[in-house]
Amino acid sequence: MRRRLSAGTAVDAFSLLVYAFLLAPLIVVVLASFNSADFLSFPPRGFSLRWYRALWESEVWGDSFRLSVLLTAVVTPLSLLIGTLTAYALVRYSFPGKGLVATLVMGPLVMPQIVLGIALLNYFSNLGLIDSLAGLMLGHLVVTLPFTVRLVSISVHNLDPALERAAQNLGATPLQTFWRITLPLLRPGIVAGAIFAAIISFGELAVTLLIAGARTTTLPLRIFNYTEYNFDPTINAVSTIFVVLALVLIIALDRLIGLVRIG
Amino acid sequence: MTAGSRRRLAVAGLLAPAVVLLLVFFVIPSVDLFRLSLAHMDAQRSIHYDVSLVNYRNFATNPYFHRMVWGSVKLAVAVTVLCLLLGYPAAYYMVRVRSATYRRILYAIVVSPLLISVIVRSYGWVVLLANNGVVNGTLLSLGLIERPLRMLGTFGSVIVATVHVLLPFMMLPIASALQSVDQVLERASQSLGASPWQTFWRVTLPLSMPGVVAGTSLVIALTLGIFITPLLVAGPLQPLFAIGIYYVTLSQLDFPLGAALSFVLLVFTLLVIALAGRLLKAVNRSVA
Repeated sequence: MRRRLSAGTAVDAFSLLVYAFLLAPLIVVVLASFNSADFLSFPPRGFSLRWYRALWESEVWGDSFRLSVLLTAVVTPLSLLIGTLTAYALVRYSFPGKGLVATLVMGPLVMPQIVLGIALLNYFSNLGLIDSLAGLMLGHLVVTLPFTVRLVSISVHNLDPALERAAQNLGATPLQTFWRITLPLLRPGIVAGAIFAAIISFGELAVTLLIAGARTTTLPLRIFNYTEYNFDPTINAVSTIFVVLALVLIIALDRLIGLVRIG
Repeated sequence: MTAGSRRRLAVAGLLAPAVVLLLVFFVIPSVDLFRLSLAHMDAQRSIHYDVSLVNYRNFATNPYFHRMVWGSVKLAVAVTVLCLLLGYPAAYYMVRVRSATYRRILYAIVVSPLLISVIVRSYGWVVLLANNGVVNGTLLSLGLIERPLRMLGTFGSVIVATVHVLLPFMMLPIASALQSVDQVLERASQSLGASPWQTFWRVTLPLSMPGVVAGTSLVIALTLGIFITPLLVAGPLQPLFAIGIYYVTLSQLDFPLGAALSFVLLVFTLLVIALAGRLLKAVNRSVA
């Protein structure tokens, strides 16, 4: 009995270390953002909000922030609209070629991101879409679509078709049924899909790195450029925004569909 | 209009936006990339669209690319083994912990990295591992070392940062498999006299194999294609396949060669996924 207890305790302790490992780089970045020293230093020199003020006053970071917000604001609703229609068709109907469409929709997720990025780089060069908002938008749309389809599909699976039939039997038109019955019942999946689409678009770098440019430096791309060439502690403050955003959204996701089901 | 044709029309209408988007901005670019991989670039850097295997031959014969492939294979093995060793016990702990609130917090810790841009997660490792970073600072102030250890830029730093980025992809499928393991079977095994270890090896582990296989294949496939994280912690000269593609295309501007390398990586990745799919079927059959 005693041996069993100690083996169990060892697994517990080891597991806690793994969770600490998962959190460590995030905690370190948040702590570093309040460090008053103007280079990377450990232990921290003192508490200060100067990097947040620097971030707020910086024009280039502001430009990148606005660009990323704009991009996310355009990509999310479009990805959600296309994803919802696709999820509904794939879950509700059977038709020839269904497997092929399902594979096609998940394709961008299976393809290594560097390959997708290189493919779009070549394609967009010929179309003049490199370093353009339209190009980024289309690239992000392709990257986010598998996620919106998957998350909305969860809700479509849970939707009882009898409810829609009942509405139609009671005289509702197909459009009324969709707006008053289908859409409200799909809400959890749609909101979760929106969160994922937004978070992926806002943080996307693999494809962005290859198709963006000097005029379209998104927030993640600017962080990347800065870490490559100089150590600007403002990066810590920007990164903290990403961490806080994730914290808020994780709570929202848990309320909506439960974290256990995302995995 | 018959009900059948109306239904077909509805399906076509629902699917049209996604299919058109993906045909124009996913399938055609991929086909174009394949065409480009068969082209070649002359000394004046103009691209000739002929059908030749010169880029693929270059890949097969150039030791520089062999080193890249070997680097990626080594990384994939190291990362997968570490993800399994770290991820399985942690997933087990998460699923079996008594308090529901505590379990939700652990799930949040595993899922939240997926919601944070990969650049931020990788940058965190720069802060930890830099010469004036947290790890060196701690070791120095404890007097354990006299001058900072060089950690950034090493293969070890790539392994650690990659494990961190991909660990959730190993843990979530394992956790979901463990959740569906019927604990009655474990209790039965124990009441029939098996030790906790025997129960784990003979009952729990085999029943959770679908999650292990799914997580492993996901981690291998993602490791083969990872490039932002190694680029950030180790720079563009690290011998890894995906970084090589990036370097050949964006620094050497040899687009046809970059395209050929991309296709080699894609084929490797699809092979891993296909193999895992078959394995998963076999495992599922043996579990059922």
